This record gives sequence, structure tokens and C-alpha cells, in this order.
Amino acid sequence: MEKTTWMAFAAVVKRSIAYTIALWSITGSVHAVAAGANQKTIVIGTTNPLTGVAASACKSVSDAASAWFDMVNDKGGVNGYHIQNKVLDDQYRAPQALANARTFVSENVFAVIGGCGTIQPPAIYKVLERAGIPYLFPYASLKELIDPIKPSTFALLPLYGDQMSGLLRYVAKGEGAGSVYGIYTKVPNVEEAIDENRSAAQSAGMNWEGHQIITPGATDFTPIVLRLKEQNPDYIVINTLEADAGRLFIAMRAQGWFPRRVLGTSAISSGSAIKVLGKDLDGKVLAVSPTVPPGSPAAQACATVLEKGGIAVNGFSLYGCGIAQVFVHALQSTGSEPTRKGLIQTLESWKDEVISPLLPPVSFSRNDHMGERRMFVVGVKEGTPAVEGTVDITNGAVAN
Amino acid sequence: MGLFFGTLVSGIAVGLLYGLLAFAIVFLFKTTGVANFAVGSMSTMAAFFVFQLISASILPLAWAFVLGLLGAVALGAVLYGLAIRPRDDAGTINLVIRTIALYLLLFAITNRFWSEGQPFAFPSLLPVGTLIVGDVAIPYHAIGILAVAAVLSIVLACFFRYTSLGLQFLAMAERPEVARLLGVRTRRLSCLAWALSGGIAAIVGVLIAPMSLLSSDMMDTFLLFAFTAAIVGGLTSLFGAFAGGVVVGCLSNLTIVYAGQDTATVVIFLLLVGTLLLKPEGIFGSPEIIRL
Repeated sequence: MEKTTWMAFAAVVKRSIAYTIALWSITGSVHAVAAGANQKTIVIGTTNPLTGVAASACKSVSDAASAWFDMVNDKGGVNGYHIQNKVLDDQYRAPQALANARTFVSENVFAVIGGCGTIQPPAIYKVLERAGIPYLFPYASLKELIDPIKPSTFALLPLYGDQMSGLLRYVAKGEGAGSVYGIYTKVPNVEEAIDENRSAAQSAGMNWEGHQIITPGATDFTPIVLRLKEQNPDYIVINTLEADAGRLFIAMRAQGWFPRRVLGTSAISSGSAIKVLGKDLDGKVLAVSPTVPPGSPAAQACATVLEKGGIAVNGFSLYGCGIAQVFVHALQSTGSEPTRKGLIQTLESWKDEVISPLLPPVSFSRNDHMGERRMFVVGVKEGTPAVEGTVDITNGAVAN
Repeated sequence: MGLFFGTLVSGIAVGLLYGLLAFAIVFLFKTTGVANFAVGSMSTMAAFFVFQLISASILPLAWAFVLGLLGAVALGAVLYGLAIRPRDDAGTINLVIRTIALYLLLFAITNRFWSEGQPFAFPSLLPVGTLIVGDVAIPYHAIGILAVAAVLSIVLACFFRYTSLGLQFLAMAERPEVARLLGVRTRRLSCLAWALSGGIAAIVGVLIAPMSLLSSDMMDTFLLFAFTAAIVGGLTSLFGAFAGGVVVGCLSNLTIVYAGQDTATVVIFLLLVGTLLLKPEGIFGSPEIIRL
């Protein structure tokens, strides 16, 4: 009797183990194929300064992306999936960004997208790479993100040094060579950016007259302008914070002096620095921008969504909207069962992919994870930023 | 020579702004014995308040400024009442640390509620344009700052010299215990001193914002230079605050032009340390005499 009972019990145990293994393998395989995605929702993460000193500029990047995702969800989502964007505050602090990244890893999000600032990405991309989580398009100009190539990390914003070099070649071809003086904010790799710009200017036949590195937040830009006025270069390259660019423009106007052109990176193309002097800057400023400027008809779709969400339309929010469009487009192309690997393959297959009128065509490859090789050239007309053309920043050629 | 004189003019203009802020610090220090680290934040908050009134098209600039000035005066009095007056016998270090806390608090409030989208273009109360004298361009804004500083100094000098209240302030600044014994209501005067300091901070904020762009941190560097000006001029000398400001402004701007911005920062803080070591009472201050 006891032997029969024992054999029956063993049979039950064996069947239970078999069922458990079978169940495990089914759920495990689903989990592996679509990490971060259940049948209805794709969960992505964003670590961004929502509070603290950088929040005033950066918060709109994630707000705008979330607003675009909400609009897409309202229209039925992407291939039946809704996108849930979990935004965590990093207060522009690397340790907090790292903690957020670890949270995203533990929650097994599908991807981490956006964010704004240069100090956070170095802290988090390694954690995300180890977990195989795509890290996409932070608003950061950082060589480390793309050189050497990381399998899951993709950038959209070109390095400031490359931006300026492309613009210098563009201006030399279009408006003639001349003398150039550079003003730079003290940031990591600034010396490298200066060397690149100097080489670009000289190879375009321009005369590099020197440069100055400034500390952000100077009380008075008049002495800097007085020195520039004395030297009187044809072009001034500014690679500074937007606020400092605005202060420089104010000091130039106060001294009654402007160079032929002030050339700027995407840091000044958003409009705040330009709004400072309005029409006084007409024809005097050229900057490169990853998106069309606010007020451009090509930005209308984003502007409508942003205004509906009470989000100011500026360079930062348009960038946030743009990266959301890129992500949605990539997800759409990846198919009905999206996986991280599939997403990466989709991105790497793009050559001059047209996403929306807000952005120039985007290209990635296995050996190049920098998406924008073309940027909009933005000037000032009637006191507002306006697109004057598109430049290939690798060679300064007019791109359209 | 144009470069030199142009730099000197700009140094005097920005130096007077340092001097005005230093004056607010020295005035409060003389009358209450407290160095107010929150004066920069008070200045920023006043400028933001004016900006909100203009942006909402509630008032034109001049009236918005008047209301902002009154608001800043009230803010000064409120800050005294809430943060300084309670346990005001707790000692100088305690009170100074309270002003640092106030600086952080006011900065956090401004940043939290008003900073989104900053920096902002702030309209100028003074005319925009440039006067050309020889080969020197003198912005009207700089002339305006000189005029405001001159008027304010004359008004305050007359106030201290020819009014009963002004004399009471001076008495309190020299001998607060004796003044109290003689019936001077020192706490009421301290409140008035904070209120007046708030008003001066508002004027400085509205003068600085058009050239620096309005942002929650626009006064941070100004405050450092203002404290340097106050130390160099003498923490016990109201005139010294202006003189110290001009010295700091001119030295800083000349060094930036001829040696670069980083060198200028080193020079200014060497000046600060040098003053503290060699003449701690400042150029125009009086050494403190303690009777044993």
C-alpha cells in the first residue's frame, strides 16, 4: 500500500515539474523576444533634469517627447502598441542619472530615449549597454557616445565641433573666406573642438585669428567685445551657452559693432538668444540646428501638439518632439513584434531616411551611430529664426 | 587708446553696479551687523516680479518697476520679520548663516516658479543706443547707471545727514547698545534697513537684467564681485562700497581685455585676499577699536 502511494506521489511530482518547465519556457521565450513590451504597451524610459538648474531648458525635451507619444497613442499607437514613456528626474546629476538607468534596467524597459545634458550620458550608457537596452538620441554633444561605436547607443545631435566645422565650410563657400575668431565656453573637449574648427577654417581658406575660452555666467561681456572690435574679424564663431550668446549680442549692440557674421552651433539656434535683439540681428547670425526653428511651417505638427500640452515651442521642445518621431518611425518599421534587436537593425538600415519635415534626413549604419550628418542652417529674418538652407556638416556642402 | 578708455568706461559702469549691490550689503552690515548673502536673490526675485507684470501686460515698464520696487521693499521687511528678528540675539554667525539659507530659499522659489524658458530678454528702463566720444563708444545704459548711482548716493547721503531717521541709522551703526539706551528703536530700524536694502537690490536687478538677461542665477557672479567690492572699499564705509565697486569693475575689465577672463578672476580674488591680509578694514573703512 505504501509503495503504491509513494509511486502515485512521485508521478504527481514529475507531472508538476514537467508542466512548470513547459510554462516557464513559453513565458521566457515571449519575455526574451519582446523585452519591455507586453501585448499592448511598449515601456520606454527617459532620465532628464525635471528640477534643478538645468530644468528650465531641459524639461521641455522630455515633455515634448511624451506629448508626441500621447498623440500617437490617442490615434491607436504603433502597430497596435501604446508607448508608455516613464520619465525620471536626474536633476542634471550623473549619480541620479545612473540610479535612474539602473531602475530602467531592473524594470526591463524596451529602450531609454532622450534626456538632456552632457554629464549624464557617460554615467548611464555603460549600464544600458550591458543590459542590451537601446539608448537613443540624448540631447548631448558627446564624442564618447559614438566613438567607438556602442552596439545599442545611437546619437542624433552632431558634436558641436563638427557642427561648427561644417558651418565654417558652408560660409566660406557661400559668402567668401575671411578672418575668423572663436569664442568658446569651457566644457569637456573644448580644446578638441577649437582644433577642429581651426583646421576647418584654414582648409576652407579662412584666416584663424585666435580664440578665447570663457567661463559661463560672466557679469560683463563688454571687455570681450571691445577686444573683438579692436581685432575686427570677419566672422566670429561662438560655441557658448545660449544665455552667454545673448549677452554677447547685447554687448555688441551696445558697442555699435557686429562682425560680418556670427556663426553658432545648435546651442543658439533655438531662438532665445536671437529673440534678445530681434531685428537688430537680421542677416548677422547663422547657426546650425538639428530641427527647423520654432515658427517654421515645417514645425507646425509638433507645435500643435506642444501648444495643446501647454509646452513652450522652442529648440529644446522641438528636439524632444523630433526624437519621438524618429522612435515612432523606427518602431513602425520594425514590425508587429518589436524587439530591441529588431529596432537596432531598423535604425542601422536607414540611409537618408525621411522622418518628418521637422528633421533633416537621418542615416545610421553598423559603423556609424550618429544620425544627423545634415543640419538646417538658420539665420535671422525680421527678428525671428528662419531656415536659409541645409548643410552637410562633413564637408560644408549645401545639401539641398 | 580707444580700447583702454572704452574698457575703463565699461569698468566704471559695471563697477557702479557692483558698488550699488555692495552698498546694500554695507548699509545692512553697518546698521545691523549682518552681512546679507541673500541680497542677490532679493534682486533677482524683484526683477522676475517686474518681468511677470510686464509679460502679462498688466502694467507698462515704468509702473511695473515702481510696483516691483515696492514689492522688494516689502520683501526685505518680511524677510527680516520672519527670518532675522526671531532670536536675533543668537549671534552673528547664526544670523549670517540665516542669510545664506534665505539666498538658497529665494533662489529655489524663483527657479521653481518662474525660470522655465529662461533666460529672458528684459526691457531696459534706460535708453538703448551709444554715444560716440572720439573712438570710444559709451552705451547710454552705462551713462544711465552712472546717473542712477549718483542720484541714489546723493539721496542717501542727504537722508543720513539731514533727517532724524538717517541720524538714528548712523547712531545704530556706530553704537547699537548706546542707541538703544537712548531710546532708538533698533529693531524697527533694522526692519527698515532690510526694507531699504530690498529696494536697492530691486534697482540693481532691474539695471542688470537688460544686459545680463533675466535668469534665476543672473546675480551669482555679481554677488561675488559685490562682496569683494564691499571688502575692498570697507565694510564700514558707505562711500567705500561705491569706490570698491569701481576699483573691482575697472581692474576686472582691464585684465579681461589685456590678459583674459581667467586671469581677471584670479586678480580680483587676489585683491580680495590681499585686502583682508594687508588692510582688513578696506580702503575707506575704519579699523575697529575695542576697549578692554
